[in-house]
Amino acid sequence: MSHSSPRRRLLATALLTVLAACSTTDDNDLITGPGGGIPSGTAVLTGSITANRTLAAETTYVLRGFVYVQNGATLTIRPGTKIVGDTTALGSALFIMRGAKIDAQGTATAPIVFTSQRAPGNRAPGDWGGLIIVGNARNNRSGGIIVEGSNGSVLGADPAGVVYTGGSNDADNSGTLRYVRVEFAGYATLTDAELNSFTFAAVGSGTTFEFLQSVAGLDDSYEWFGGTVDGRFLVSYEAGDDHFDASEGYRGRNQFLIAMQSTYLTPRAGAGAVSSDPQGFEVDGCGGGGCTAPAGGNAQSSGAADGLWNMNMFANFTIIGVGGGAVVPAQGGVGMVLRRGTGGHYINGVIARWPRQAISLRDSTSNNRFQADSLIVRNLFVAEGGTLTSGVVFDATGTNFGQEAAFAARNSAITVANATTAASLFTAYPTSITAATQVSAFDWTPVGTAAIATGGLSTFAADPRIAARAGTFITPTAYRGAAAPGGTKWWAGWTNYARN
Amino acid sequence: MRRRLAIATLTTLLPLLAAPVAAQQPATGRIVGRILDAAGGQGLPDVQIQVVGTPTGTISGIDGKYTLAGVKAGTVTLVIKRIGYAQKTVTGIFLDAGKTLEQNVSLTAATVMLSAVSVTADAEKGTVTEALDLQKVSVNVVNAITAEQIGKSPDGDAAQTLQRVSGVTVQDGKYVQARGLGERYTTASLNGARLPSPEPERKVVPLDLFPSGLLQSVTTIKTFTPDLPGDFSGAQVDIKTREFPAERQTSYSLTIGANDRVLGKSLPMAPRVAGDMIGVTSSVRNIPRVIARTSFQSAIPQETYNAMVLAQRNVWTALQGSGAPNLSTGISVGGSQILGKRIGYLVSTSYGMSDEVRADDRYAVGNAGANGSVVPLTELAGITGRRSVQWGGLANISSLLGTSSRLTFTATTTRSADSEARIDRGFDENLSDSIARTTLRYVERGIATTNVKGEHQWGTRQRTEWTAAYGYTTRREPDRSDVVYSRNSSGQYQLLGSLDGARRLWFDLDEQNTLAEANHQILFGGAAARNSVKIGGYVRRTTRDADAPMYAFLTRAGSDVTALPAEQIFGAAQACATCSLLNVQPIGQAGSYDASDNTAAGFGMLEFGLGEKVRVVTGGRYEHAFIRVNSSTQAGFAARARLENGDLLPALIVNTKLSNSQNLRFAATQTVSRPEYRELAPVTFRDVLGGVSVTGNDKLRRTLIANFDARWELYPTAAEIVSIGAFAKVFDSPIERVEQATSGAYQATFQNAKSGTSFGVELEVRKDLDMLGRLFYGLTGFANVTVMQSRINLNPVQAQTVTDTERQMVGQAPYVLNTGVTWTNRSGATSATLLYNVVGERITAAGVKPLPNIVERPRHVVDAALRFPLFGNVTGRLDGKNLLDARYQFMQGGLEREGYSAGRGLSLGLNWKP
Repeated sequence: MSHSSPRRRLLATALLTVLAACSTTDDNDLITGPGGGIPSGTAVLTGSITANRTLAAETTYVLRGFVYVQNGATLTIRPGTKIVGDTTALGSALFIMRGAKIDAQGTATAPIVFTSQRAPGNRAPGDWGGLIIVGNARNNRSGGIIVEGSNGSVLGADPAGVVYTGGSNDADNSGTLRYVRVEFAGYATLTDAELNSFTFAAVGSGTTFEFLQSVAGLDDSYEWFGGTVDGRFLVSYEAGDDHFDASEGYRGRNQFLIAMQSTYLTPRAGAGAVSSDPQGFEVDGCGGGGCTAPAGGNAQSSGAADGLWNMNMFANFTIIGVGGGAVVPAQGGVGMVLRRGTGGHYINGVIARWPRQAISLRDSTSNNRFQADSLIVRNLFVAEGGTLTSGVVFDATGTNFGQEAAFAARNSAITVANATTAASLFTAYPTSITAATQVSAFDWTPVGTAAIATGGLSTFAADPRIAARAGTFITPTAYRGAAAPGGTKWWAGWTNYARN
Repeated sequence: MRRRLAIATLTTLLPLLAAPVAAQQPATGRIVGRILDAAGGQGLPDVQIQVVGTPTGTISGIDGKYTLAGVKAGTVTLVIKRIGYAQKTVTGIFLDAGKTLEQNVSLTAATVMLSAVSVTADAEKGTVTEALDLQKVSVNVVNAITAEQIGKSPDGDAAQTLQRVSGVTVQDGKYVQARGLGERYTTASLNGARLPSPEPERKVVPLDLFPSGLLQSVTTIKTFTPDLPGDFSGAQVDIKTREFPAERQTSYSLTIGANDRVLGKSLPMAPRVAGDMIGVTSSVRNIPRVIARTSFQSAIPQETYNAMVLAQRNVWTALQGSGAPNLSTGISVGGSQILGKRIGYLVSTSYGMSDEVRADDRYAVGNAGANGSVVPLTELAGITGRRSVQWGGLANISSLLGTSSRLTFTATTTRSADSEARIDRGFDENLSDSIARTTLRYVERGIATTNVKGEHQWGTRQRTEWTAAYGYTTRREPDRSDVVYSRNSSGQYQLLGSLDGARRLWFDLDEQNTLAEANHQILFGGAAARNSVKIGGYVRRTTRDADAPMYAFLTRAGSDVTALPAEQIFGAAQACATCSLLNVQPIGQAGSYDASDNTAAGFGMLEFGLGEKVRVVTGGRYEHAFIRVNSSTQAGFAARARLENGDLLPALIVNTKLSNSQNLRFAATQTVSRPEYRELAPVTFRDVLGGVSVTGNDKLRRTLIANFDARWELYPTAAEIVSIGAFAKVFDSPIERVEQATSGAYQATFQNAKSGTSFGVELEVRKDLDMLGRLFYGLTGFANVTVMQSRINLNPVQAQTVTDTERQMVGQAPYVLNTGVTWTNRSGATSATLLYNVVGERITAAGVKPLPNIVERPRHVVDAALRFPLFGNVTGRLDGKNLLDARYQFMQGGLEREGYSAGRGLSLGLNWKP
């Protein structure tokens, strides 16, 4: 294992975080009463922010309606600041527009929190909209495509919507998010058009995303629409749709990701609906129906000519589904769905408790990528797979393309251990998870004897494609999953596991 | 609301009871009729009508109408005299004792000293000639279809009738567009009073609500004059209900018919409840109180959810039925005397029932495939079965007050109800599997109007007209259900576990219209000059309430339950006191809106002759409209739209009479088009699963349209016409429905484009084919064709999204062709007609990159009709409709986005006039 020096600094920070965690006060204390009366020390954010502005921790900020940070302005948010979505202006959301920046650098002891205005215990998915960042990187759709729901029925919304296509600078910088939580977001601003907790639309590689958490959002926890931004230390607890959704030519890299689904939450009435196909990963080559087909090609080969394949890299992920016999939305409960002509690299992950199946390779265009080695799946570990389907892990013969033999033929090295429980893999994993479960009940560090403590792709040297794409950002590991045996508990202290 | 309709119905039927049998004088008869200006076509008051050789005589009243009572039976000669006109003698009128005879007479203005004219009575009643006359003499471009033409076609209602008009296209069998322009540019009125739109998202009037038996004429006005409301550009369609006949007359009609894709075929049918078959459904379809009154913003106990499930009607599955024959029947009674008083009346009712089908009913969502092709992303195929009922009633009472005033009262009520079941199956890409869905809906539409019109003649030179009207429109779609099952990995179909799985919708729209209108006309110059000034005012107030609450029904039950029929999934057993599996959720972004529209207008119009040949109409209308729309979603988002505009709409029309049979017309006018209320409400409406969400836009502006027309007309004989016209229209900020691409599903909304243009040529020919030889005796051929081209100029934001920035306007067809041939025997009692209609390919929704536009394919529609005397006073009619069974097809590239076949229809009708 060799670490670059910035990474080493990060680990040190994370370590400090753990030490400081015990002194963290409950940052929900600032909110009083159900129904969200605005307490003293609050300020309202509304309309457009056109000049640089700093939000400080002493004040609770209320997002009222759609709030746009406009081109040229930087919104700086101090550690420990809380921003809540107004419960009367339904669907309130923060848009960082193309050309604008957000500089939200919390700390492990004082994370920045975007959450519901309602009191703890009375919060629900869809209480407010979400955080949307629009960058100037490229994606593989042409025309003026708007962010879904950005033209919605929300106070202050521009009915024309927010266009995110047409970017030109893959190195664009939308700022920094560090130690930021987004909770109870995902309001559907139009019928069936829910917002994501984090929407990263065409965000460029100059942007920094580290230590982020989505809690109980009504749509995806993270969704990337094209762009090139890298990220690490991303946590997703209880999503209404997918935990990690990438499409439209996303070419960024992400390492150390945790997704945890213990139940499907009931959204705030009227705020929208849990998706009928919530998955762990859902990666599309392009959005439904909207990709440009290169001459002679298929729409789902979109972007080939411009190097705009959907070529994201996800490494060291631990994604946990609801498991058991829980009721799962009709087509949901798959750990990883790769479809619509996506490429990308999926390495050193743990996929556990996904009730329908662990991994699915949906269509011929994705399979073409897979056979051509631009879609690479390596060194995964599957536990408690297919709990609803008598142990289905792969696509059944005759359906789709992700059969066990197909992965074996491409040396994917997927370990299937359906008899192994997720609980047996991790240092701490509660046997029953309830609304009262604390974040401290989870320790994702592999127990020393667990299979995931080893079996990782520990060098990329053997595969120049992986090495080239990983660069210095993705580190090969001897273990699988989001945490190193005996390593830093990077999620500790700043993440939250409050479901209501 | 019910009560209001009931009153309207009662008002309609009351005169039926009051209609007496008039006592007749044995040796005398009556002559009634109208004296018309031969050049202008308008009624002439103060004309002396004398029965030659007797003291019997009278003076014509308002509108040129006259009645000669107690005329001795036998051969009668009339002398007609008026200052400024040439005297006319009409000979050879045969009057039977006890009968009433109608004799209309035209007088020619005496510019120079003309000798008296003598003609024989040549009865022309309700004919093609009249329609063409209207076309010939009106100052603006009009097309009219009369009761007689309607009688010769297989048309069952006003919408079908309008298909025969030059440049008119009819969408979905009910919505009219003129000159290929979108339906928003066409308005409709009934006896001169604006008809409201009962459709939530469209500015349309479903003209199939008006059975053809109630129609006197359907007039399509294509040129604006300042005395008309200014919010049309394509056409204003005026439906005139039948006026009373000269003597008491009763007619009964009965039609039975069959459709080859319906009769005896297995169709899905929606289970009915009491009242569905008369279009006034039972309250069991009402939204359950426990659902309507629950605040979903607070915590809801499980008992309440269970109560909601128990309270819903719990009908989700279609029945399989056998298609029945179509049936329609009608009675009308008319006369000109009530209790010995000269009061004209017509009371008419009709009822029809038909089974319809959309066979091979397909629905698909497109995705871009290889080489620019379009491949299906989601594709469903199935069948829709529909049972429609339609009834209408009309009462028209009119009386002269003195000799110079006339008062007309008209009440109408029409109602239709469609009970529909659609079942389809197919592949849903997002769910990556097969789904089966069932939609049950029942839609009720009604329009009730009352209209009082007064006409007063002040001496020979001044005339006042006023109208007061009240209209009530309703559209209800109570308790629509949608249920979707999806196939699981073991091949079993289970209820879809999302908000799309099972939904119920209660839609309710009520609209009230009040209108008051008055104008005063003053003639100046010589009588023959017919120069006039007309001034008037107009006030209209419309209020509308529309509410569309929609709820999803959800269950947490296991797959053993969700594989059952929905009636069991949401049955009582699942909602037991200890059960905790069920849940009900509002679809938060659906919503309601209310609208008010106050329009006031004033106009001044000058009509004068320049020399003998040229007539000029000019003037202006100032219209001020204030539209307010308040909308809110179920989740509580509220928006207010305000649209206030005052517009001056000038008009200049120059008609040149090249000869007695040739006209040349020019017109330049300005009109306006305002958004439909729904379009201003930013709330979402969407079909279940896969449908495009449609959201209004509260920032819409009104459209201004500059219209230019030129037309040459030749009238070889009274019943023949050849005309060639050209038109051009320039639109400022036209409103278009656009699909918006998003990072998720497509959404449709409405936007103002920057500008648009449309220009075209119209050709109309109606010609007796006698000249082709004896074989062709009795044959009349007719054709009208409109060819046009339009261009939309998008604003930069739209142009980014839309695939095709250089395209025709949405809804604009490149051509419309109507043609046919009629054969009539010498007596006129037997006739046969063959009709052909086709509309060029038009865009129904602009495509979003990279997908092409969605277009409606041309349908080649052939209809045939045969009229024949049967025995006694019974006539028969045999009608064939849609003989080629042309399929409705909406294509996106090579993909059929929507399509269905409606089948061929054959019907036999009997009409008895005792």
